[in-house]
Amino acid sequence: MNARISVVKNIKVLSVSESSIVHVGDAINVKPRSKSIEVERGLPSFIENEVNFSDYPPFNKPIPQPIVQEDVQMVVKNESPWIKVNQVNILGIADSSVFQVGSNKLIDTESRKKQIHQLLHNQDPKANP
Amino acid sequence: MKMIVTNKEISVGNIYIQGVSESSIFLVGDTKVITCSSVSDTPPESEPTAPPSRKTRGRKL
Repeated sequence: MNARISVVKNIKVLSVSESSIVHVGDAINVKPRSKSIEVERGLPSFIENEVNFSDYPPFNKPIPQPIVQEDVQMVVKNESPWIKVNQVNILGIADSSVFQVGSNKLIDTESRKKQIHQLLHNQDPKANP
Repeated sequence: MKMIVTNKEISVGNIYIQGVSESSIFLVGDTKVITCSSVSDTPPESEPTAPPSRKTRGRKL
């Protein structure tokens, strides 16, 4: 694969979290994985090791992947060897996402999340973030 | 199937992104294969794209 050279003059990223990657340079395979259980409670009482990932279906079920049926032969012609960007400004990168300046062969990301609300009666979930 | 792609000169000014999340990609470069998978189980009232529930209907967000 004839990859181009990426040039970014200025990068500003405020937060990178939960198996996310900021990569400057080339790579071959990029495979971030993340699992999270988010519990929001009306009464903020939390104990460590309360639940197991295996108790919830989002973490047990395999994710079906698309089957490539057609055999595509792709020929890429790069008229310019550069990919130029002046400035990149990102507030947040989260949940096994990737920001890369550079080229790679394969990206395979996976994020599994379970959100639980245990609110008091008549409590507005938006009022207590 | 044969596919011919011609990449002309690309020069971008400023990019401003609020968030890259739930196994997404922001790539300045070339790649061959991208597979992004995400599983999420969320209560309906915390999903911003869901229709407003009876509890929150008519209220300012």
